[in-house]
Amino acid sequence: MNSEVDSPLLSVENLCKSFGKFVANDHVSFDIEKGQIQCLLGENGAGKSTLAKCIYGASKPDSGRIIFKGQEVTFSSPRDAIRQGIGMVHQHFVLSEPMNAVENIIVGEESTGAILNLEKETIKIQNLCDQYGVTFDLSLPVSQLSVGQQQWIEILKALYVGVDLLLLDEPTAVLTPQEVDRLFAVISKMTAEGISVLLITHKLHEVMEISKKVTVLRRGKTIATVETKNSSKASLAKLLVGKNFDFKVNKVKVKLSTPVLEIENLSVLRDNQTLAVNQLSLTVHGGEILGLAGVSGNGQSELFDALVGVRQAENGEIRLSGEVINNCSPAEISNKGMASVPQDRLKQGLVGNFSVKENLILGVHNNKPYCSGGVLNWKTIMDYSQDAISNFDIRTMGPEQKVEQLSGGNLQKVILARELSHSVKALIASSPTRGLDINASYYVYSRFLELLKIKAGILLISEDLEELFNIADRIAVIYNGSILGEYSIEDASTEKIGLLMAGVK
Amino acid sequence: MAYTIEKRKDIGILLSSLSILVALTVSILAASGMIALYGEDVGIVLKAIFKGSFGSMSALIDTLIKATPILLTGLATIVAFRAKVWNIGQEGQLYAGAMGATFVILTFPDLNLPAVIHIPFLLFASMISGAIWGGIPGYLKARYNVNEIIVTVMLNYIIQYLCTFLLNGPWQEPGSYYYNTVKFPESTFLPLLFDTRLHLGFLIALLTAFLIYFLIWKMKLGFEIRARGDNPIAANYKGINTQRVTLITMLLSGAIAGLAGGVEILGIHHKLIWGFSSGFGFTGILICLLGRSHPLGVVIASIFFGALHNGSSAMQIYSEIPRSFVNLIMGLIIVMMLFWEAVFKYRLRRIENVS
Repeated sequence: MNSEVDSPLLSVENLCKSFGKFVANDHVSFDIEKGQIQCLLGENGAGKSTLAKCIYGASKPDSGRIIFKGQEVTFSSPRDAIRQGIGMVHQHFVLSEPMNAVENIIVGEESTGAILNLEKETIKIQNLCDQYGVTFDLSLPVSQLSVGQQQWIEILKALYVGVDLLLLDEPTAVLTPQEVDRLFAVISKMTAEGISVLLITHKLHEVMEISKKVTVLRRGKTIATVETKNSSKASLAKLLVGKNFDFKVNKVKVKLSTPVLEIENLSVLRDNQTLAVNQLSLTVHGGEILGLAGVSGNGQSELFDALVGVRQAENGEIRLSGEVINNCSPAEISNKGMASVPQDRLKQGLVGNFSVKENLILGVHNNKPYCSGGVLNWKTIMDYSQDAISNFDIRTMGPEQKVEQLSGGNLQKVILARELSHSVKALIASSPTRGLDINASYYVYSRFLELLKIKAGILLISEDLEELFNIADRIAVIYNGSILGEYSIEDASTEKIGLLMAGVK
Repeated sequence: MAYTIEKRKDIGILLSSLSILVALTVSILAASGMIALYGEDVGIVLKAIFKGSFGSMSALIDTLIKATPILLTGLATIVAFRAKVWNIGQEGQLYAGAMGATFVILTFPDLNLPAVIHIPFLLFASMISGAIWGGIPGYLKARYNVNEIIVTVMLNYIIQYLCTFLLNGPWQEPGSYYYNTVKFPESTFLPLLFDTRLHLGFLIALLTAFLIYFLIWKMKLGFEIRARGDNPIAANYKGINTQRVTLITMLLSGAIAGLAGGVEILGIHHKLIWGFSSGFGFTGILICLLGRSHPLGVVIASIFFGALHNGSSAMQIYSEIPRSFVNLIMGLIIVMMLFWEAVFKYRLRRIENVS
């Protein structure tokens, strides 16, 4: 009886994990076959990360069973898991930057002995690279490698020890389209060698492209495990969200007006005094969304900082509706009509310990009617807050609730409510839907589109190409601090943008 | 049945108060244990402490007198700590305030102003002096990001030695062997309340408590102070000039600590005398932490500490236990409060094992 071939490689049975009253995984059950690519699909907040942590040993489930290679297993640590054959590549890499690939891979290995002679190990790693068709200089320090190459080192860590199951957590979030293609090629090769891959993602097109089966999680529960060939983006979306979800964005082409934001030859330094933004020029017109694509680290944060007034411009000019705002303070720029949605909500946009209503006036707390003679008018502020909460559908217990208790989507709604409640000429948004579920993301888009109707202009900095293709009118690409190229939405394609993102003109 | 320990989302006022009660109870029990080990009757000792602090009108007055300076330094600390500017210089700023008032009196001995004008003027001088002593670290922090803990602590030493120098030199009362100035004119004496020994300083401190409450929670500056304390990065992005807030915070904190110094010498000693402060500045920091950086908490905590100090004298009369035992109790209370606050942040939760 071929039970070994028939029984699944990994079987998760009724796995439960809670944090306090919050149930992250609710009786999750699914199987993964040997040598197969399976996707774990779920929105942000569905419980994918928690489940992954339980499978690869970082977390102990409250109840349920994990059966691996026919035996029930409990892992005491990720190290324990990888020894038994399950490895994981995280979204945020855990590499030592000054060390090279070989050193990063063998760190923690007991077999290398007390005195290091890495010849044998280097050969083994080189062979693995050849086997999978990946080439780069193994002696370079990690800090000099591209994100795609760093990710490959993370994968190598697991391949080096020899895993049977590899989990990849949102691996394409940081890659250019071409790097994604290379990653998928590597994954296909892995499964051909008999290694199973569980790809954790929230992107439907990836699921359709690469997986054989997909397990859909929603609000902590396994909704279904289906064969990809029998599914479509629409059917998966229905499982994902629970109802028919219309992915269309109601974008009405608005007639463009005069430029609201002009950036001319802008140069901005990083904290370490190197040039982050280098002679960058961009123009955003009223009524349009200009998308700015690019691999993170090419100057986007410094550009954002300069536009809102937190960082000084070394050179160049920034004009808001014709007025030069280079050396103005953040308060002045905000008062002149520049709205901003920062990348890190709780760090840059909100004071976590403050209540909803206090955050709603943060930045405008100096203005009438919220403040007169240095004294805050809490009654007026309360009224405004209650309006904002109902207007922007902020799910909160009330204006007095501490903002750090809100979910990611509601945090973003607080920021939007604050930024959009006062007159806006231009809006700069940086990764506005990162970490948000589909409903919250589309809410953000709808609010952005409303702004266009009043002839405001939006600069949308985002690493999510799908998002840019969804709502932008033009897409520019930032590379090494300047604009490498720009396409109108009609002319743009994933390949063209991907090449620009990689620095190829 | 398995249990797990997890962090609570929010501690809430009820549990916060409960943690304080538990801490006090445990401290009293531990202190009682120590008293018993020492061979004394626990009941007598505790009663003595209570009688000495609240048992009579005279005792109560003394308690409030002792509470006054630490109430003010506690309030001074609230302003700084709410902005997460770590002012450890209250002691020095308090000295600066006392010395500032002294300077005015000694420089203009024949002022002959009515008390109604003279006293506010002197208190104002002590606030300005404290503000300057707080403004130095404030400016260095705001402009150059110099660690304020180091600067304030260093400045404590500088000014205390300066004070000793002056009291042993140009400011010393002629013919005196001790480090003190001449006695101040009567128009500088803080008026006494209700024909008791309680001087106006206590009311000034209460008024300051109310003003601090109003500042921190009702005024724009207070909003910016709290924002800078809770998230200086977001505060910066949203237009708050965090450097300006840092400086103003230290100026204010120094001013209130300076006021404490002025009030103490104009209300009790009527001269600048070496050692007039038994660590009021540092005690203020503890008061602030115990009072959870809130004016009401600081008022209660300062009266409580004043009571303990007062009661310790009575305790020494009625038993063999030395006064310094009260410092032990205070230390115990502080450790217990921190400990139980941390414990109450977590709770037990049952995990059901579903087969």
